[in-house]
Amino acid sequence: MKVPGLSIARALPFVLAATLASCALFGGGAGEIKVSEVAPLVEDIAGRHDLYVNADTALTAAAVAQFLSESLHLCDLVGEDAPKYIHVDVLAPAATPIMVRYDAYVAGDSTLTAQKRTALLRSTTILRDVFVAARAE
Amino acid sequence: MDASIKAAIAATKAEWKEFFSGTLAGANAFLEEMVTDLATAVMNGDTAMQETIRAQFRAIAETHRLKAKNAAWDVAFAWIRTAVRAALLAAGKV
Repeated sequence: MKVPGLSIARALPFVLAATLASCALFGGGAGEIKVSEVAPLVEDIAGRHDLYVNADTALTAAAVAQFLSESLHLCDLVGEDAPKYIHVDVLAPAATPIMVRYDAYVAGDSTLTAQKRTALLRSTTILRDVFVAARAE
Repeated sequence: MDASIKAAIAATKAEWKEFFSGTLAGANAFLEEMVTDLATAVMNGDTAMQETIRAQFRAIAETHRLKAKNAAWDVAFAWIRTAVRAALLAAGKV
Protein backbone atom coordinates (compact mmCIF):
# COMPACT_ATOMS: atom_id res chain seq x y z
CA MET A 1 0.00 0.00 0.00
CA LYS A 2 1.32 3.40 -0.92
CA VAL A 3 0.80 6.17 1.62
CA PRO A 4 0.50 9.59 -0.03
CA GLY A 5 3.38 11.88 0.91
CA LEU A 6 5.42 9.17 2.64
CA SER A 7 8.58 8.29 0.81
CA ILE A 8 11.38 6.00 1.96
CA ALA A 9 13.64 9.02 2.29
CA ARG A 10 11.15 10.72 4.60
CA ALA A 11 10.48 7.58 6.64
CA LEU A 12 14.14 6.67 7.08
CA PRO A 13 14.90 9.04 9.98
CA PHE A 14 11.90 7.70 11.89
CA VAL A 15 12.95 4.10 11.27
CA LEU A 16 16.47 4.89 12.45
CA ALA A 17 15.17 6.68 15.53
CA ALA A 18 12.94 3.73 16.39
CA THR A 19 15.82 1.31 15.89
CA LEU A 20 18.11 3.34 18.13
CA ALA A 21 15.42 3.58 20.80
CA SER A 22 14.98 -0.17 20.63
CA CYS A 23 18.71 -0.71 21.03
CA ALA A 24 18.79 1.58 24.05
CA LEU A 25 15.90 -0.32 25.60
CA PHE A 26 17.25 -3.81 25.03
CA GLY A 27 20.96 -3.16 24.72
CA GLY A 28 22.02 -4.00 28.25
CA GLY A 29 21.04 -0.93 30.22
CA ALA A 30 20.86 -0.57 33.98
CA GLY A 31 20.06 -3.83 35.69
CA GLU A 32 20.31 -5.80 32.47
CA ILE A 33 22.36 -8.99 32.36
CA LYS A 34 23.71 -10.46 29.14
CA VAL A 35 22.03 -13.85 28.97
CA SER A 36 24.74 -15.61 26.94
CA GLU A 37 27.33 -14.86 29.60
CA VAL A 38 25.40 -16.30 32.54
CA ALA A 39 23.43 -19.07 30.84
CA PRO A 40 26.15 -21.75 31.14
CA LEU A 41 26.57 -21.06 34.86
CA VAL A 42 22.83 -20.90 35.53
CA GLU A 43 22.33 -24.18 33.67
CA ASP A 44 25.25 -25.80 35.48
CA ILE A 45 23.79 -24.81 38.87
CA ALA A 46 20.31 -25.91 37.87
CA GLY A 47 21.60 -29.23 36.53
CA ARG A 48 23.42 -30.11 39.73
CA HIS A 49 20.45 -28.87 41.76
CA ASP A 50 18.18 -31.24 39.85
CA LEU A 51 20.50 -34.20 40.44
CA TYR A 52 20.48 -33.52 44.17
CA VAL A 53 16.70 -33.00 44.28
CA ASN A 54 16.06 -36.24 42.40
CA ALA A 55 18.34 -38.12 44.80
CA ASP A 56 16.86 -36.56 47.94
CA THR A 57 14.72 -39.31 49.46
CA ALA A 58 13.55 -36.97 52.24
CA LEU A 59 11.50 -34.92 49.77
CA THR A 60 7.87 -35.66 48.95
CA ALA A 61 6.95 -36.23 45.32
CA ALA A 62 5.15 -32.89 45.35
CA ALA A 63 8.25 -31.10 46.63
CA VAL A 64 10.43 -32.75 44.00
CA ALA A 65 7.99 -31.71 41.28
CA GLN A 66 7.85 -28.15 42.63
CA PHE A 67 11.64 -27.78 42.86
CA LEU A 68 12.22 -29.23 39.39
CA SER A 69 9.53 -26.94 38.01
CA GLU A 70 11.28 -23.92 39.52
CA SER A 71 14.55 -25.10 38.05
CA LEU A 72 12.99 -25.59 34.62
CA HIS A 73 11.53 -22.08 34.77
CA LEU A 74 14.97 -20.70 35.59
CA CYS A 75 16.54 -22.52 32.65
CA ASP A 76 13.79 -21.25 30.36
CA LEU A 77 14.71 -17.68 31.30
CA VAL A 78 18.21 -18.18 29.88
CA GLY A 79 17.41 -20.83 27.25
CA GLU A 80 17.80 -20.67 23.49
CA ASP A 81 14.62 -18.65 23.02
CA ALA A 82 15.51 -16.11 25.69
CA PRO A 83 16.10 -12.48 24.74
CA LYS A 84 19.68 -11.23 24.61
CA TYR A 85 19.36 -9.43 27.94
CA ILE A 86 17.40 -10.17 31.09
CA HIS A 87 16.75 -7.82 33.97
CA VAL A 88 18.23 -8.74 37.33
CA ASP A 89 14.81 -8.29 38.93
CA VAL A 90 13.54 -11.14 36.75
CA LEU A 91 16.50 -13.50 36.94
CA ALA A 92 17.48 -13.12 40.60
CA PRO A 93 14.10 -14.07 42.14
CA ALA A 94 13.93 -17.14 39.91
CA ALA A 95 17.50 -18.18 40.69
CA THR A 96 17.53 -17.55 44.42
CA PRO A 97 15.60 -20.60 45.66
CA ILE A 98 17.62 -22.84 43.34
CA MET A 99 20.89 -21.33 44.57
CA VAL A 100 19.88 -21.67 48.24
CA ARG A 101 19.07 -25.37 47.81
CA TYR A 102 22.18 -25.93 45.65
CA ASP A 103 24.38 -24.40 48.37
CA ALA A 104 22.79 -26.55 51.06
CA TYR A 105 23.13 -29.74 49.03
CA VAL A 106 26.75 -29.05 48.02
CA ALA A 107 27.75 -28.02 51.55
CA GLY A 108 26.24 -31.22 52.93
CA ASP A 109 27.59 -33.58 50.26
CA SER A 110 30.16 -35.72 52.06
CA THR A 111 31.25 -37.41 48.83
CA LEU A 112 32.90 -34.20 47.62
CA THR A 113 36.49 -33.27 48.35
CA ALA A 114 36.94 -29.96 50.14
CA GLN A 115 38.47 -28.46 46.99
CA LYS A 116 35.58 -29.56 44.80
CA ARG A 117 33.02 -28.36 47.33
CA THR A 118 34.65 -24.93 47.38
CA ALA A 119 34.77 -24.88 43.58
CA LEU A 120 31.07 -25.74 43.30
CA LEU A 121 30.03 -23.19 45.92
CA ARG A 122 31.95 -20.57 43.96
CA SER A 123 29.36 -20.90 41.17
CA THR A 124 26.56 -19.39 43.25
CA THR A 125 28.87 -16.76 44.70
CA ILE A 126 29.82 -15.64 41.19
CA LEU A 127 26.18 -15.57 40.11
CA ARG A 128 25.23 -13.49 43.17
CA ASP A 129 28.10 -11.14 42.27
CA VAL A 130 26.58 -10.77 38.79
CA PHE A 131 23.29 -9.72 40.40
CA VAL A 132 25.02 -7.24 42.72
CA ALA A 133 26.96 -5.75 39.79
CA ALA A 134 23.80 -5.41 37.71
CA ARG A 135 21.93 -3.72 40.55
CA ALA A 136 24.83 -1.34 41.21
CA GLU A 137 24.57 0.24 37.76
CA MET B 1 49.58 -32.25 45.32
CA ASP B 2 53.30 -32.74 44.77
CA ALA B 3 55.88 -30.02 44.28
CA SER B 4 56.27 -30.48 40.52
CA ILE B 5 52.56 -29.90 39.93
CA LYS B 6 52.53 -26.90 42.25
CA ALA B 7 55.46 -25.46 40.31
CA ALA B 8 53.71 -26.11 37.01
CA ILE B 9 50.56 -24.38 38.20
CA ALA B 10 52.54 -21.46 39.59
CA ALA B 11 54.29 -21.03 36.24
CA THR B 12 50.95 -21.17 34.45
CA LYS B 13 49.49 -18.53 36.75
CA ALA B 14 52.44 -16.23 36.19
CA GLU B 15 52.14 -16.52 32.41
CA TRP B 16 48.42 -16.16 32.61
CA LYS B 17 48.62 -12.98 34.66
CA GLU B 18 51.01 -11.50 32.12
CA PHE B 19 48.73 -12.58 29.31
CA PHE B 20 45.81 -10.77 30.95
CA SER B 21 47.55 -7.78 32.39
CA GLY B 22 45.85 -5.53 29.85
CA THR B 23 42.41 -7.11 30.12
CA LEU B 24 41.86 -7.96 33.72
CA ALA B 25 40.15 -4.89 35.09
CA GLY B 26 39.45 -5.37 38.78
CA ALA B 27 41.21 -8.67 39.36
CA ASN B 28 38.90 -11.19 40.89
CA ALA B 29 39.99 -13.02 44.00
CA PHE B 30 38.55 -16.23 42.58
CA LEU B 31 40.75 -16.37 39.53
CA GLU B 32 43.79 -17.71 41.36
CA GLU B 33 41.95 -20.63 42.86
CA MET B 34 40.08 -21.23 39.61
CA VAL B 35 43.36 -21.95 37.82
CA THR B 36 44.30 -24.43 40.55
CA ASP B 37 40.87 -26.06 40.40
CA LEU B 38 41.10 -26.23 36.64
CA ALA B 39 44.49 -27.92 36.89
CA THR B 40 43.05 -30.46 39.32
CA ALA B 41 40.08 -31.09 37.04
CA VAL B 42 42.38 -31.56 34.03
CA MET B 43 44.60 -33.88 36.03
CA ASN B 44 41.63 -35.94 37.19
CA GLY B 45 39.97 -35.98 33.77
CA ASP B 46 36.94 -34.35 35.41
CA THR B 47 35.30 -32.80 32.35
CA ALA B 48 32.15 -31.78 34.24
CA MET B 49 34.21 -29.68 36.63
CA GLN B 50 36.16 -28.19 33.71
CA GLU B 51 32.84 -27.08 32.20
CA THR B 52 31.71 -25.66 35.56
CA ILE B 53 34.88 -23.59 35.80
CA ARG B 54 34.47 -22.51 32.18
CA ALA B 55 30.96 -21.27 33.03
CA GLN B 56 32.35 -19.46 36.06
CA PHE B 57 34.95 -17.71 33.90
CA ARG B 58 32.30 -16.55 31.53
CA ALA B 59 30.02 -15.22 34.26
CA ILE B 60 32.88 -13.28 35.81
CA ALA B 61 33.12 -11.36 32.55
CA GLU B 62 29.53 -10.28 33.14
CA THR B 63 30.23 -9.45 36.79
CA HIS B 64 32.86 -7.00 35.66
CA ARG B 65 30.66 -5.80 32.79
CA LEU B 66 33.37 -6.56 30.27
CA LYS B 67 30.83 -6.60 27.49
CA ALA B 68 33.25 -5.77 24.72
CA LYS B 69 35.73 -8.30 25.98
CA ASN B 70 33.48 -11.23 26.80
CA ALA B 71 34.91 -13.29 23.99
CA ALA B 72 38.34 -12.87 25.54
CA TRP B 73 37.23 -14.89 28.54
CA ASP B 74 36.41 -17.90 26.42
CA VAL B 75 39.86 -17.54 24.88
CA ALA B 76 41.26 -17.16 28.40
CA PHE B 77 39.71 -20.39 29.56
CA ALA B 78 40.98 -22.31 26.54
CA TRP B 79 44.43 -20.78 26.95
CA ILE B 80 44.66 -21.57 30.65
CA ARG B 81 43.40 -25.12 30.16
CA THR B 82 45.95 -25.69 27.40
CA ALA B 83 48.76 -24.18 29.47
CA VAL B 84 47.82 -26.19 32.54
CA ARG B 85 47.59 -29.39 30.51
CA ALA B 86 50.99 -28.70 28.96
CA ALA B 87 52.49 -28.05 32.39
CA LEU B 88 51.01 -31.26 33.76
CA LEU B 89 52.18 -33.20 30.71
CA ALA B 90 55.67 -31.86 31.20
CA ALA B 91 55.51 -33.00 34.81
CA GLY B 92 54.31 -36.41 33.63
CA LYS B 93 51.04 -36.09 35.54
CA VAL B 94 48.56 -36.60 32.71
